[in-house]
Amino acid sequence: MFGISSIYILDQKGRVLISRQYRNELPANIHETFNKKLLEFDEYTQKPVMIDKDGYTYIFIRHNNLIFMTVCSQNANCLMIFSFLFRLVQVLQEYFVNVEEESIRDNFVVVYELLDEMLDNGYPQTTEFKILKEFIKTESFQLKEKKQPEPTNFNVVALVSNKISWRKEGIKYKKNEVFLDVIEKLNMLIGQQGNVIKSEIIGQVQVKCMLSGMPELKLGLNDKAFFEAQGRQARARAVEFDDIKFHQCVRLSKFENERVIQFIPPDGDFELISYRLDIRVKPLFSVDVLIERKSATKIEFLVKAKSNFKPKSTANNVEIFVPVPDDAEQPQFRTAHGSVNYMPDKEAMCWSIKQFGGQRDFMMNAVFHLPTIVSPNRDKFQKMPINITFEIPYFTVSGFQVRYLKIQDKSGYNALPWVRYITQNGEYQIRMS
Amino acid sequence: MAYFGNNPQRGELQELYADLNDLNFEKKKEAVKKVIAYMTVGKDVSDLFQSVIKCLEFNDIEMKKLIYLYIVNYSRQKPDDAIMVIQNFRKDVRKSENPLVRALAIRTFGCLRVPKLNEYLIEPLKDCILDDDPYVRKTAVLCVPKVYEVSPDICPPLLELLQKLLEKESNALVLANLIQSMREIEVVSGKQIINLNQKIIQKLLLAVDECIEWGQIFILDYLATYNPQDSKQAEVIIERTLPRLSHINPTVTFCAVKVILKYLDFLDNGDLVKNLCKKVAPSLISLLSWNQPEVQYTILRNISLILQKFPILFENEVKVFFCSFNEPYYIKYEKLDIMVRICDSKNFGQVLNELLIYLNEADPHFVRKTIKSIGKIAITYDKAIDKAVSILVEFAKNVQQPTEPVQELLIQMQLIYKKNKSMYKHEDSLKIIYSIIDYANEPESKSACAWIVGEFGEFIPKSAEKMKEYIDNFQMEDRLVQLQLLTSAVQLYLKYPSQCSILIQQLITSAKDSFNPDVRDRTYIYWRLLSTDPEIVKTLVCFNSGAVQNFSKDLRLWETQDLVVALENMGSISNLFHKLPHQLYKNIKIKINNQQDVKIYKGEEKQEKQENQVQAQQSENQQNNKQEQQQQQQQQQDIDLLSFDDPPVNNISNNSNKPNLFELI
Repeated sequence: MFGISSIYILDQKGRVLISRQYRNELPANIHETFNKKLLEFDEYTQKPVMIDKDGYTYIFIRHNNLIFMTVCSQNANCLMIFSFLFRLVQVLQEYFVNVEEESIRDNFVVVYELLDEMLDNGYPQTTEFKILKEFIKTESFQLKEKKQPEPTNFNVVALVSNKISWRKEGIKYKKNEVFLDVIEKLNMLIGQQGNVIKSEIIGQVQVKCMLSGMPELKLGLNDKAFFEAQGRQARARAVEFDDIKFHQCVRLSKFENERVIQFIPPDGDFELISYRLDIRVKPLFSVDVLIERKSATKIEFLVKAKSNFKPKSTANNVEIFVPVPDDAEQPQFRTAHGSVNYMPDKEAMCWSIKQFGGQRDFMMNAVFHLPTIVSPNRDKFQKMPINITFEIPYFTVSGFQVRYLKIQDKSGYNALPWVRYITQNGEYQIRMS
Repeated sequence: MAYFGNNPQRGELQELYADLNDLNFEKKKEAVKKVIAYMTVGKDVSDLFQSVIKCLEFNDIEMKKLIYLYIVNYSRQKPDDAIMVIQNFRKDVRKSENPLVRALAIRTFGCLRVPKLNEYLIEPLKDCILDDDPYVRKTAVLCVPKVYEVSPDICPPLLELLQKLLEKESNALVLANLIQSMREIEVVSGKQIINLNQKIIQKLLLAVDECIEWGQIFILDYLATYNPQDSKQAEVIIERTLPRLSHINPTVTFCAVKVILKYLDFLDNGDLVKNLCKKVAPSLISLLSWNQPEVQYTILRNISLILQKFPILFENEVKVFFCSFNEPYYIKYEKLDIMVRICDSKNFGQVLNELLIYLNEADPHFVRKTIKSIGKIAITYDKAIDKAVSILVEFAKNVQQPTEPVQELLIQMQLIYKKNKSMYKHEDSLKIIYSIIDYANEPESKSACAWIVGEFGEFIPKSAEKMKEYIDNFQMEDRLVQLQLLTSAVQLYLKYPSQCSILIQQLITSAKDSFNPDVRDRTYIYWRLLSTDPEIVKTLVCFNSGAVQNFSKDLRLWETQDLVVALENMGSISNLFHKLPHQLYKNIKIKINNQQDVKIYKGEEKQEKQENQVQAQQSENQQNNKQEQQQQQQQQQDIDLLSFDDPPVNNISNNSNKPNLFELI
C-alpha cells in the first residue's frame, strides 16, 4: 500500500486552485491529462476512478463547484483515499463553512498548511479538526476571529501523539449538558403492488457535548445483544443491530466484549454512533396513483396517500413527488389537504402536507393538459418512482431507545443529559409501474 | 536590474523583489504569500529564490511553512541554491526547542529529493528518529522512504535504526507510521526489512486500539499480509481485530474485514469460521449503504472479488444489491454484475423480478446488460428458463426500433434456444422474436437471427423468403454473419429442398469467391458434400444435442491463487481494476505463494439441501466436486484477471462459435 502522489483542488473548468505534490515527480501538467480524460465519459460511463496509459490513477470527488483530485503513481489504497478526500472537505467546511472556489482562493495559505499537516509522504495523518485548529490558527476569512495568542505548541504536539487525541484538557462550562439527537432514516423501496422490496434503517446518534474536564460517559441502549450478554431477559422492544459503528472515542474492545458503550467525548458536536438495521418494516406511507387518460390531450391523476404509523404520532413537512409526463401543462389540482405544486424541471408534481397524522388517508386530484405534438419521452414518467420526504418527531421506526447516559468526572459535577428522537425519510421510493 | 532579464512579468516580479527585501516584516510576509499564490497558478517565480530564502531568518512559523513550500517546489530546478538552505534546516532540527519546528524542518528536508543534498540529511534524520518527542519521531520515520526513493545506497544505517525503533517504540502513532514506511521500502526494494516477532505483533495489536484512524489502517493493512504461524495466533489476531468492525471510518472497517478474511484460512475451528463470517457480512453490507457513492463503488468492486472465495457471506442477501433509481450508473453496473453472480437456484425468481424493472431504465447500455444478465441466468438455471424467456418475449413485444438492447435480446434468445432445443413449446415466443429480427444491425445479432431462421425454418412463416433477403445482401455482411448464413441456408435447404435449391445456388456462387478463406472453405465443403451425399450434411448440420453444455453450474468462477493475491490487496487500486498489482505496476515483484488449494467458503445450508436431494450419491458427489474443482483450477490458472470481469459471457461466445466449426470438420 502506497500513499497519494499529489493532490489537486480544481475549479469547475479544471483549472488548478491548489496543488501539492508529496512524492516522486509527476508530469508537470498532469491535471490537464485528467481534464482530457474526464471528457471521454458521459453521465452514464463516468466513474470516480480513472487510469491513464502511463499508469497514473486519478481518484476524485466533487464538492460544490470544486473537484478534489488525487494522482497516484503506485498501488495505493483507494478506499483510504476516498475517505481522506471526504474528510478533507469536512475539515475545510469547519474552517470556511462554505467550501467553494471563492473560499479556497481566499484562504489558500490555510489550505496549504492543512495539506501539509494532514498528509505526509502521501499518507493521512491528523485529520481531526479540533486538533488541527490548535495547530493552524491562520486567520481564515470567513471566521474573522480575533488574533489569537501564539500557539502553545508543546501541548498541541502532546495532543497529536496522545492516546486521547480528540479532547484537550482544561475545558470549562458553567452549565454541564449533553444533547443526544437520535435520527433514523428509513430507506424503503416499495413495489407497485405495495409490497416492500427493500427496507433498511440507517440511524445516527448526534451528540452536542458541553461538559467540563475529562468526563467518562457510559451510554445504555435497548440493545438486544447487551441484555443477552448480561444474561438478562431481553425486553419486549430491544433492538437487534445488524451493524453498529462508533466515533473513534468509544472503546471498541470494551464494546466488543461487554457490549458497553463507554467513552471520553470530544468537545462540541460529533457523531457518536451510526447503525444499520435490516428489518422488515411496514411502509410508513403508502401512495396509490390512478392514471386516467381522458383524451389524447388530457391526463388525470388520482393520488391517494395513507399513513400507517400509530395515530398518536404526526409526520411533519410531508412532500410527495409524483412523476408526470415531461410535456404536461396547465395543471389543475384539487385537494382538501395541503397544497400541490407543479415542478416542470423535475417532471413531477409535489404535494406538500404540513402535518400528516397517523392512520389517516388523504386524496388529491390533478389534471394536466398534454400538447398534441407528443414528446418522445412522454411515457417515461411511468417508469420513475414516487419519492416521499417526511419527518416524524418523537419516534424511531426501529424502537431505538437511550436507556441512560451516565456522566462521571473527577470533579464530580452534575450534568444533564438530554435526548431527542426523530425519524426521517432516507431514500423512500414507490415504484409506479 | 539585469537580474530579471527580459521577463515579461517584469513589473510584478520586480515589485515582489522589492517587497521581499523590505525591512518591514508584514510587507515581507505579504510578499511571500503572493509568491506562493503565483507559484500555485503555475507562474515561474523561481528567480526570486535567493530573496525568499533570506526571509527564513524570521522566527515566524506561518512564514516558515510557506517558504518551505516554495523551496520544495523549486529545489529540483535550483539544487545549487537549495544547498544554501541546508544550514537553516540543520539549525532548526538541532537547535529548535519547539518540536513543531523540528518536525517541519525534517519533513521539508525529506521532500527536497535532490540526491546530492541527501547526504547532508542523514545525520539530522538520525537525530530526529531518536528524538524524545513522538511528534518529531512520527514525522522522521515517514521521511526515510522519501530518502530511500532518491538515494537508496546511503540508507542502510537508517534502516537499522528503524528496526531498532520497531522493537522499542511504544507510541501508537509512531509505530503505525513506522510500519507503513518500512513496508513501502520493502515493496520498493523487494527485500524483507521488517523482522516480526511475537512481541512486536502484540505491540502492533495494542497500537491498533490506541491509534488515530489512519494509523489503524496502516497496521491492519500490514497485518493482512502476514502469515500467522498457527491457528492459535490467527485466532488471537482476529479477536483483537474484531472490534474494528465497529469503526466509523469505512476504510478501518474494510481493513479489519480484510484481516479477518485472510486469517480464516489458518483457523482449525470450523464453527468459529462460521461465526466470524456471520459477523463480517453485516459490516460489509453497511459499507454498501454508505452515503458516498464513491465509497460504495470501491466496496462493490472488491465484493465481486471477495465473493469468489466467500460465497457464504452474501447468501440470502441478494436484495442488498438491488439498484435504486437515483444511483449513479457506475454503481448500478457493479450491482447488476454481482446480482448475477450470487443468483442461484433458490433466489433466481427474486432476481429476475428485479431485473424486469431495470428494463425500463434510460441508459441503453444498462438495459443491454440487464438483458444479458437475464440470458445468463436462463442458461445457467434450467428452472429459471421459463420465467426468463417470458420476460424477454414481453420486452420483444414492445420493440419498435433497432436499439442496442434489441441486439442483445436476439443474441440471448439464440443462446437460450441453443441450450435447449426442445423449447418448441415456446412457439409463440419464437413468432414474436421472429417478428423483430429485422431490427438486427450488429454482426452478432444478425448471425443469431440467421441461426434462428435456419434452425427453426419449419416453425416460422416465410423462412425461405427471409433467407433470400439475407443472401441478396450476402456480400455486405460481416464474416461472422456470412459463416452463419452458409450453415443456416444449408439447414433450410435440407428442410425445403425444392424451395431453396435456387437459393443455395445463388449463395454458393456469391460465396465461393470470397476473399475470406474461412467463408470460401466452408462454401466449398458444403458444396461438395451436398453434391455427393446430402445425408452426411444432415448429420453435420442438423444435430439436436444441446450444443451449449459447457456452462459452469456456478457463475462464480476464478478460484485460483491469483484470487489469494487479489484478496491481499483488497481496497487497493489494482483491485479496483480487477488486476493483480504486478500487472498494473511494473516495479512490484510477483509474490509467489506456495499454497496449493484455495479454500472456498460456501454456505452449508445449500450443500445440505443438495445432499438431501441426492442422498445416495452423497459421498460420490463430494468426491466429484473436489475433482471438478481441481480441474477447474487447472483450466483457469491462466485466466487474466481482466477477463474475469465477464467470464461467463466469454465462455458463451467462445462456445457458441465452436459448435459452428465442429459442424464442419
